[in-house]
Amino acid sequence: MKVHHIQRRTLFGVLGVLHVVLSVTLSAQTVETITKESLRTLVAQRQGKILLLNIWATWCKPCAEEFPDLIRLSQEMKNVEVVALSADYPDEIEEKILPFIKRLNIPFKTYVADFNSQDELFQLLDNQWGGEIPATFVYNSQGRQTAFLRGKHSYDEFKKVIEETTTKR
Amino acid sequence: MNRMLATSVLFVTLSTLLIAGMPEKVDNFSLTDYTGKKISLSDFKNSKAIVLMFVATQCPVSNAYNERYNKLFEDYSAKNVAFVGINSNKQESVEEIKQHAAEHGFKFPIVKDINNIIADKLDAQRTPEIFVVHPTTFDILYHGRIDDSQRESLIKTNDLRIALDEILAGKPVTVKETKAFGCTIKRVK
Repeated sequence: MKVHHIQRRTLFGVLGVLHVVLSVTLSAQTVETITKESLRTLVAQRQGKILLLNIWATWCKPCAEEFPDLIRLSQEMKNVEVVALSADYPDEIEEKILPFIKRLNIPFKTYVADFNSQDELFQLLDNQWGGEIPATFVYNSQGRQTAFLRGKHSYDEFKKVIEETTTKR
Repeated sequence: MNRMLATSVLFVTLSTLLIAGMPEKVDNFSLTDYTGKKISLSDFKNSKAIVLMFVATQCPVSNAYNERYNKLFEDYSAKNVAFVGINSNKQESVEEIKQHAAEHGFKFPIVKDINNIIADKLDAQRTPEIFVVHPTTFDILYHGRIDDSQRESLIKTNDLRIALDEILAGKPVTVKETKAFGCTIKRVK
């Protein structure tokens, strides 16, 4: 009876782990479009976490190169929500964006900008940003921007900015 | 009251320029193109305007504009507008630039900006990125994109053409600053 109980617990444990693994895997395999209003809400509603918003595109080689560092950051820094926002076109999700994020096994939320024009995105984000990609914006847990990182960066550089954002809070 | 308003406008304008980091003019400079010819801004003093185009050989966004570079050159060099391509990417050699220009039939010169000195002076960050310069004062008349979409079928505004048409008509440029997605210029550290 006791053995049976342990087996059931083990089974539930295994199922639980599988559920988590599948959830993470499935969440990594989806790309949603995001409007200007939804992005504004995403930035504002922080629920206690820092936001690291990375702008990338499938045509951008340095973007692909910095993703492993962003993935590591998302796994190691639990107080940070990493979100990737693609500058590709929304009609490229199936053909380009999904294969890209599957190949790199990106575990965090990935969106593609579905704005009326790219100018709306520029107006919403930092005035210093002229559209060069990759670009990363960091927001503190109150949704206030604390950093703008132009171009490709390393895990240590991202971590330093996150730590500065945390201590300034 | 008017003085207060003027001060506020000046403050906002200066703040915008400072935040954007965009210079108002550029000093004359000389660089060598892929054929070995030295090219200076002052060479074009008799033109109506000088279009400086930061371009790349490997950037997919810049490459999406190859035909548009040619069409712009064809349409506006006939109206005495000068064009100079500038390659500031550290990883793209003069030989590669030469080969790329031949493959795409570029008729405008492309200079190599070794150590991204001119990109730094102009605070150019991406490819493609355009600066339209006055032929004698070297004031920056327009800065930004060629148009508002990498896909030609989705273009809504031909920003560079609008600016050039205004300059050729002797009018001030209405929209002097635009932005667009592009590849980061790969600088030397």
